[in-house]
Amino acid sequence: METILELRDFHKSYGEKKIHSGTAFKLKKGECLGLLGGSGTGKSVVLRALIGLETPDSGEVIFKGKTLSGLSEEDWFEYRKSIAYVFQNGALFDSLSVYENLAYPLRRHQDLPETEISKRIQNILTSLDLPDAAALFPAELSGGMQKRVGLARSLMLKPEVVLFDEPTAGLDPKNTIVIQDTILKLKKLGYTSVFVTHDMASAMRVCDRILLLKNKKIISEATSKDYENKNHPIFKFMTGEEN
Amino acid sequence: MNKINQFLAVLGECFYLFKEALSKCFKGKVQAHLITDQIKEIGINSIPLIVITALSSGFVMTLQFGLGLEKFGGKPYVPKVMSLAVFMELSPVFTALMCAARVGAGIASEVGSMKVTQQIDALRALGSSPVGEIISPRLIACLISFPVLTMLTSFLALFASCSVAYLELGLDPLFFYQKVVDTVTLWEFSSGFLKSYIFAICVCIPACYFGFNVKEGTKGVGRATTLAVVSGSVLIFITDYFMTKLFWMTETWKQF
Repeated sequence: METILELRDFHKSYGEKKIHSGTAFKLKKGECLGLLGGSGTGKSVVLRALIGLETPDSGEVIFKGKTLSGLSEEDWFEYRKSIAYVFQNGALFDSLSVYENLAYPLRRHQDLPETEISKRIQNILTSLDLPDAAALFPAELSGGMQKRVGLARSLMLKPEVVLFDEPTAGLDPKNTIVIQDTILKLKKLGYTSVFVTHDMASAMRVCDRILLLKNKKIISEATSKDYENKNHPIFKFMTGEEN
Repeated sequence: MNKINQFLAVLGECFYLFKEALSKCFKGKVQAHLITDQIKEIGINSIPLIVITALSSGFVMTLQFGLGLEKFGGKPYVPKVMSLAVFMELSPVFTALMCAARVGAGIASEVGSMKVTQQIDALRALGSSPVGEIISPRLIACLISFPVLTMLTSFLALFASCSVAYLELGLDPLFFYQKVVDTVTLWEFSSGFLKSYIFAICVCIPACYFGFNVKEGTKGVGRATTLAVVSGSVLIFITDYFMTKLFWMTETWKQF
């Protein structure tokens, strides 16, 4: 399978604190890659760097063979139509209704008639089990609903790669399954994704491959064949057997 | 020295932000509905505050001038003094200060909250420019609203002044009106108007800058709001001095 997105020799520090020192991985087209690690290991920083919200101190982000690192903010706009980011808390625009939040990327980047926009919004809301949420405002939604609307908004432009920042964190089991099912559905539709999480069960259910981030770089990798092997370093780390 | 460097750095970044916001305006990348929303928020919703400020300053200043000048038999000079003070100084400065408090605080807290809740990152992630979506519409709205509000303040303050001059000092309203028309030249009338454009920038840009740079959650939003109001007010006073000086120099050159 061809590589669609690659992070190469990524270094990032905040002041004196070094977060990444040579983090690197390749993302293949159509796969769902899990990124696991303890708190403060810089999992979200990797996602933010992949979409240009964070500038690497050194290293490269390569999308479809083109180096994106060093692009100006304006040049990134074009690529952000192809790479979507699902924020941990949804990051919905609180002054806009759910409908307006979902219509925002379409109105900004595509010249569609309002009937088409409305149809697309209703379809995606129904598929995420939110059929009556269009008129509500973010403050009227539960945490789980906000995450699902955030997910819906990031999918409106039909991106090629979706970056999930802890999409199941803080959700009840029912909502966790809805999010997992949605990611699996997207995988079947051919979407490529990176899934940052603490939730081992979700990662094992949806990811084709899982990477462990520790000591400022990727230290271990597990493929679906390793999921049953409880002695694998990733599972030992996540169950607290190994620090 | 460190504080001076920090201040200069903030000033430089504000200037850069202003340049970027302005370039987005000239490139036509600002959506009209965002501008009209902000004109409603910044301009129309400020009218009640401006009316109260204009009327009370008109009442009080006329009474102070009237009672002070009466001792020297200078009561008839009240319209002359008031009209110059109102058009050139009081209305642009009072309007800008009121807006620094209401609009500056509003912008800083709104933008700061957007930053804390990652809405600004979401805008970027959706391929939009936060400067074009947030700062430029507010800047345009301020540049439209401030001069209009300044004019409103001027006329309301003079109306209040005329009322007090008639009721408390016994000056005929027609005499008052005639004196105002005879005294104020087009240059004096427009100097206050010109100041209001600069004050609009002094209020809007620091407020957006501090909102954009919120770092410590809700505590940071409060700090940004305070900084926006304080820096906006201080900039109004500083630029007012230099603009007044510039206008006087221009006036002197015109006489040669």
